[in-house]
Amino acid sequence: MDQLERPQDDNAQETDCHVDNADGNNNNNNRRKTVCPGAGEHPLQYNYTFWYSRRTPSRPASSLSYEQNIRQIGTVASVEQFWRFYSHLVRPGDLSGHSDFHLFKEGIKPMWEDESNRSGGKWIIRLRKGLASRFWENIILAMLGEQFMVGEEICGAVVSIRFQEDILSIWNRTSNDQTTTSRIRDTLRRVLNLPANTIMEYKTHNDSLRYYYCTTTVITATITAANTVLVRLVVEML
Amino acid sequence: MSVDANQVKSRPIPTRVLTLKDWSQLPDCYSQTPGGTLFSTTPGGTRIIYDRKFLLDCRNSPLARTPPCCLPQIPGVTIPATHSTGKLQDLKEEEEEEEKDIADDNQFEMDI
Repeated sequence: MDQLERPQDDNAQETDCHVDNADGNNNNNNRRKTVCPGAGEHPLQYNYTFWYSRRTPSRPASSLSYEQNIRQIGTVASVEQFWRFYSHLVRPGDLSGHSDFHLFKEGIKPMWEDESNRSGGKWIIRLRKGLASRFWENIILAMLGEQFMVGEEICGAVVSIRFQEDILSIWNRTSNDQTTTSRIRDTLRRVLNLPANTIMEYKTHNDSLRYYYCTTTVITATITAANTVLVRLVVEML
Repeated sequence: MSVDANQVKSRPIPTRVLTLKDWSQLPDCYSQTPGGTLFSTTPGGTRIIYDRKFLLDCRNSPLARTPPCCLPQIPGVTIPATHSTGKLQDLKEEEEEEEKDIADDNQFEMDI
């Protein structure tokens, strides 16, 4: 796949700017040059990449189509770069359909299969409609500002807009590291000020993976309308 | 020149003790340590730490306001969505409008 490389510009804050709008299939596996904070900007501990994904509910999910439906928006290395992107993105509460924003450390794809996520898991918080925008902002500010204090463990955060509820998740590398997962949970409670009776659930990606692949075989084996409906409900639960 | 000795007393610095049963009870002003976290040192070495207030303040700087140089054009995400007709979409949009109002109300309550 051709990469459009711009000539390096000393004054540009982002050196890896290339956008392939021509083809809808954004090849996200290209190695990109690292983005750096510009002069006078406040560097982040890690670079982060914004991703966006959307699925039309009628189309069944599969691992391959997931990778094609998710695309990078941009990578940031400083606080100011973060605001530049964030201010030009629609707020999650205003997204339509079955959509997700992901903010992951550069180099980590927001997928279970990524090396950094294989032994990992996530805290998930289900929110009633109307809260996603505010809580997404607070969770990513906490992540960017290194409030979680769990070393390298944080991989990224996701906000998932769904029909009747929204879901916030924060992914970490090692699901069986209790100290890490407890500290993440405590930080979430502190920085998010969640509504009373909000349940936080920890899921390992392996559990999701097993469950997901199980349902895929169900999808391919059955073709009656009734079973299609059942499968869609099952997939929604992930 | 002589100070009334009875009125000058030494006393301890006034403090207020809070017993917290939960992390969520921490007041917002807790972080007075350099770098702005609850921990006095950073486990694992020096890290770049920003608290929420600082990050929000950075939003107003001119460096943070210029549009990013290579934002992909995604309708509904980075650029306004194309107007879609269809009853279902309109109903959903109405629902979203209502919820946006509710969300805004919540925000006004939250932001002191």
